Amino acid sequence: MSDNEGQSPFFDEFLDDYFAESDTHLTSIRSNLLSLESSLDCIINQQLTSEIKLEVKSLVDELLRSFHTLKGLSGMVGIKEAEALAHTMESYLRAIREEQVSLSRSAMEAFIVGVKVLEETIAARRTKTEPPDITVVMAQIAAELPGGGGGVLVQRSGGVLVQRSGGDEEHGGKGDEEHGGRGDEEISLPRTSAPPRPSRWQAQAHESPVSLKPDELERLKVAVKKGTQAWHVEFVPDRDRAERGINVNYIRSRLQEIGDLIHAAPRLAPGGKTLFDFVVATTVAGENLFPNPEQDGINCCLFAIPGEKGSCAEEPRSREDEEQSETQSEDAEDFEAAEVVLQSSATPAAARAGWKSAPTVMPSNVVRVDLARLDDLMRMLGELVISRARLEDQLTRLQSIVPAKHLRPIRETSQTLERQLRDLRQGVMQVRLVPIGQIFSRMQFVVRDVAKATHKQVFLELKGGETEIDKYVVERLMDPLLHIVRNAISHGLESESDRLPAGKPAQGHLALRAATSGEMVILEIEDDGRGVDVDRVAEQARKMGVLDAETQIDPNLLLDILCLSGFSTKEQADLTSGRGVGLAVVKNTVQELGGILSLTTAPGRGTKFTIELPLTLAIADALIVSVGGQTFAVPESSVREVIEVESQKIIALENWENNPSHPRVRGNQGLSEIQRRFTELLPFRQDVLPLRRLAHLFGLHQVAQDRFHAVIIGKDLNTVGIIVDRIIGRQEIVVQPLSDPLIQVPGIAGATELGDGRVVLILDVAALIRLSKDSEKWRTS
Amino acid sequence: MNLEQKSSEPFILFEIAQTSYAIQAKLVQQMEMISTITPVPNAPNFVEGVVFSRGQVIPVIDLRVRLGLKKAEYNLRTRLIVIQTGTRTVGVIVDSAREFVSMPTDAIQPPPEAIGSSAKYISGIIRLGERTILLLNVEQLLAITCDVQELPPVRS
Repeated sequence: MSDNEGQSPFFDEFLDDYFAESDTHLTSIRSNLLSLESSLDCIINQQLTSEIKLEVKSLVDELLRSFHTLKGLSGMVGIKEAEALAHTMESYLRAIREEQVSLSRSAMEAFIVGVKVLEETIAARRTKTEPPDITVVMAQIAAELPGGGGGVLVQRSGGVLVQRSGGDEEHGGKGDEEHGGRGDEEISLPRTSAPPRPSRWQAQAHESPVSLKPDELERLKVAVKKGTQAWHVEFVPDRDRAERGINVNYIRSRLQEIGDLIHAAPRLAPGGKTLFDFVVATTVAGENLFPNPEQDGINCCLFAIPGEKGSCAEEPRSREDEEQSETQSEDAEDFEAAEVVLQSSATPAAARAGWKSAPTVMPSNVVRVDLARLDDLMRMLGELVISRARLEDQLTRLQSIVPAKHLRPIRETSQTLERQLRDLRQGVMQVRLVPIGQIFSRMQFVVRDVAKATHKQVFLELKGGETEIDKYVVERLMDPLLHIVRNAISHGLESESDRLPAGKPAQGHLALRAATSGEMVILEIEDDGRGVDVDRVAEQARKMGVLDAETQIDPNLLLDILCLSGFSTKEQADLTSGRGVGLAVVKNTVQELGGILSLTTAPGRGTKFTIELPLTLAIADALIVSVGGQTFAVPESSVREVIEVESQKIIALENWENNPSHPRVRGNQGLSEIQRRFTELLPFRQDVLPLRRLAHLFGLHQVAQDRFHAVIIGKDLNTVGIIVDRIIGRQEIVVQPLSDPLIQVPGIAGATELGDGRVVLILDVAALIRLSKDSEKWRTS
Repeated sequence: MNLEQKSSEPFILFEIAQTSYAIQAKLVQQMEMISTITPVPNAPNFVEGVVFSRGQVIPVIDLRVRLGLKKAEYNLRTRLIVIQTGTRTVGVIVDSAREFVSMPTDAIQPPPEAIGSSAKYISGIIRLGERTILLLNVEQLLAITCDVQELPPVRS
């Protein structure tokens, strides 16, 4: 494991950035590898059109770039295993690019395994667990390199294990660069305008391993213009020094005292030690910076300010020079890529010889933001909304005291404020939105894996990847979706030998679709496999005693049954075509996100899961209703319609059952299973709307009224009208979670304040829809 | 009792039905008068409802009910003590709460057998001069019985 435990606190910042960065690169690697694989057949059979050739070349280039950057970053934070692995894969890709070796299926396999292991290694560092064994996959990839398995495992000077293959002497200087000379340099400085020397690049003053971010560079230049001198201070920490108080923080504060501390970063040095680089602009002479440099492990020297970045993108003169400048450009690029900056005028990547246009990984005007900061923004916004509501409340109370003409301008201002806050709210929510395509690309990999493992061919259709969804929701949806997809392939889709006789194409079809609908996002996962055998499920359920003989299963009921523990065991997997396994967890996650999970299935034809999720989590528009004297809020996005109901028009089911000649019965073709569960129904348009009284669910007093309001929620088979005493109005609310278990009750999703300091509970519409099917809970008080 | 020994700790004292109770001051976030409490439907019977406290929605427990006593009307002396332990913040309604004392921790004795059904909410007894003070077991107080929300068997 890496030896950087227990280093200074600000090292952790680098780690966080590293994890975020590596994630992005891995995503790009995955997608490029898959694209490359699809061209594999053409490559192997040498059926390369110039078009395909170009595409393959650009894929390889992008992959190279990603691995190269990953290598550098991993080295910087001291994850040796990741560095070594990235290096090996990079070497292989280089060999491909130089056309020394041709991509083979076995190499592709090894690569894909390699990426997985790389991911695991990085994840292990994150969770501080044991990293996986990399030697096997490294050997596999190295075996594909020219010079093949005869390579020797050597200890690189930087303490990183690489395999130096025997036959790359023709790389000459470059080989040395890769393995030997670059041992203590992971990231290079963008070089000055001096022409590159043949076998290794160097700075003017001396080889400086320090690379500055653009804004640091700017600061340095400004400081130097003011007459200070730039010094590079290198500090090697050890236990003795730490005991004497000579540690990173000491150095840092000292430098901050005497000058402008421009840069501070850890670095992996030869031998595996970590040391720290500081760049400071000061008028104090280097020798006078610290009293005991030798003893304290401090090394000061002049720092050469690097030239403009543009100097990296020189036109190559000869092939050797081309390799040099390309290496430099790569490093400058990965140096850029390692930054989280807003670049003004981007150094056009196209200017670099041999590279395709701008890298798809890093658009130049993107800022990465911590999700926690966005949460803070939302919270602050919520407080603003509440304050404004209070203002409105107080203004209303002034109505009787202050003449209208004085009050009006203030009211107008308050309303303008509301509009502006709404716009701000929209803006902040937009920032939290990310395209769901992020999950989709992960799915591609998973589909490939599972399909291979189960020896099935799967065609994955992805639609609506640009649909945007809250980042938090995306994170939480990952696992449930993975689960459904895995099940669909391993159990839902039949094997080729089963599909063909059934008249289905040999290739199974799995579709992932996303779309927005109003303020909801609808996700569909559909396969054309064998579907769920509903009859067998019903039989099993009856055997288990959870279903009685007469009840037929409709899709809602089916889902509920499948989520029961009896159906979640692997033994039952065949019965339900694997659907039950872990489905309960999926359902819970979806519910926690305020969404609804549903499924439709046709035996022999396939299964479709649908997940509906609300887009907004924190601030929402709500209907304010009154029930039994108590006020509740209902998120508007979940409300389909609001209607007024006349008491006398409500049909109580007892009456109906006892009176088959009731006019309503003749008019309808009978009631559905679902409708029969309700005791109160309302003839509504061409159909019958089942009703539930919220007062009954919540044990509140039901006022006797001639007219009520009903809030219609749910759709299709799930539609239900929830009766409330009356609708008070609409208001924008800030959603506060009810986190304590004592107050987590079914039907309540959270709480809010309407401006007067009192808590108003928010109804959980999805839960109400679910609960409405269970008559027991809605007993008359 | 003013000897500042190393092993003494500050406590907040409050009253329920003329009995004195103590709770460690470090667990108390704040104490306030009762404002409007919003009832939560289908919550456990000792949960009065929820209130806002420092921007957060917290449950409010009526300690009388929790201890198996009869509910009392709230008056000007009734207090809401906001307790924070671990990740949970919960409000507790008591008849009155006025004292803040330091008590030596080694003077805490285990509760006697005779307390009765609410014994599990008491973690100890301290004698403070003439008074007997019951030390509240906050963990037990806030505990909820594990109620797995499973779908009930479906019958038509």
